[in-house]
Amino acid sequence: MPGIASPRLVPFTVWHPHDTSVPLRLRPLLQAIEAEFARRGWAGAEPLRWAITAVEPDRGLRIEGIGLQADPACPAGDAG
Amino acid sequence: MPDSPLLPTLLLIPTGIGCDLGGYAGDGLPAARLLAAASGCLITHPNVVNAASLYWSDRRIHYVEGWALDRFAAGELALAPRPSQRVGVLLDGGMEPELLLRHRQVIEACQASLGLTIGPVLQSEAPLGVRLSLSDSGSSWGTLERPDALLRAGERLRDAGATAIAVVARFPDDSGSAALAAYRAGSGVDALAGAEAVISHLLVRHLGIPCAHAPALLPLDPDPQLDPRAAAEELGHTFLPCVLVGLSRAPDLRREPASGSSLLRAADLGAVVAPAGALGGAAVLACAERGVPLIAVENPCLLQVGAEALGLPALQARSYSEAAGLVLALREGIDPSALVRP
Repeated sequence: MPGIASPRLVPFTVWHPHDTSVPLRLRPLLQAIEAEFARRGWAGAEPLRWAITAVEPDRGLRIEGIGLQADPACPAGDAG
Repeated sequence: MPDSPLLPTLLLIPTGIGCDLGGYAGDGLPAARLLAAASGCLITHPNVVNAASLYWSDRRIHYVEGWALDRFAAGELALAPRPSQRVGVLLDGGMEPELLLRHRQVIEACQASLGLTIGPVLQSEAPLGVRLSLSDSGSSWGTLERPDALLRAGERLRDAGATAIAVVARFPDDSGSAALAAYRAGSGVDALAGAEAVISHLLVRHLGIPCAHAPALLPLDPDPQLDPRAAAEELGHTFLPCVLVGLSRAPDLRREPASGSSLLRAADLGAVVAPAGALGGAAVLACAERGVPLIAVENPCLLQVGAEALGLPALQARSYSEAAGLVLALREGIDPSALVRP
């Protein structure tokens, strides 16, 4: 199993700024998730399942999901 | 049936968010059947149509697991319909002997009575260790203690000739919980659904073949107040029959750019139908980005992530009947705005 010899599943939550006057694009959302993984030290992690689960005027979009962390050597971090 | 060209349509009813219609035991199936008739070609995910011992087999409905569905919508995967799949079955190494026997008998029944091609059947080397949880939004989630055991067993099945995989994981019994009582009464979230999705996503991502999941649980005591939408899960000893039937005709997954005839591609999509309050998933957003008409159906759920809040253009439908009318209008080349007056 290349890259996932001992994977871990890690819940996460990310808030992302949102401006309804600008068309919503996937790429910035995925970049926000990647940035959150990097902040937590989840090297090589990718979002396995995610969705926007709230929209708030001040905080923007709440993205909840489960990340797939391929590298067992990395710390799991908090559960978001 | 109309003679006009098919309008490949994506039907999404996200799992584990308590959708009033489709949030229970395959109770999205009537809507899926109607939309399949209206569009001539419906792509949807197992949770919409899986009703444990009940199922409806329709060649116009393409059964595609959620991880693959997201990649299909993003144009990264194409779907290749085929007459049948050889369905391998992966049983959780943590299942008790009686539950194992029940599942093996379902497999034999589906071979003997439905003529499905099933096998090999194997158990994971270790208990998968399903853990259930809820997110801040109240959506059901879950994780596995041993995803490596799941993936290794999946590899063994694929290498032994399985072209699709049904997974049965032993889920925690929660017979006394308030959440289960609410679900059985028709007012709660399917607490198992989030973890089920994680299991199947993990396997499809790793193997690139169709996969779907059925939970293994001990039987519940009969409940005279059981909501009809949840009743399909209490008809038998397992949830496996619908998964075996669905996978038996699931399309192959081909990485784009793919070649071949009769492929279904994201570029072919003519509409996407989703609950009006749950438009924040990857598939809907990918479709919206490419200008696929979005039909937002009133279908109350935990979330309030609507078209206006996200800034997405959408056709509003008050029911799945109305959504089917909109799909039919699009298929016939009728501008939906011509069907209403200000």
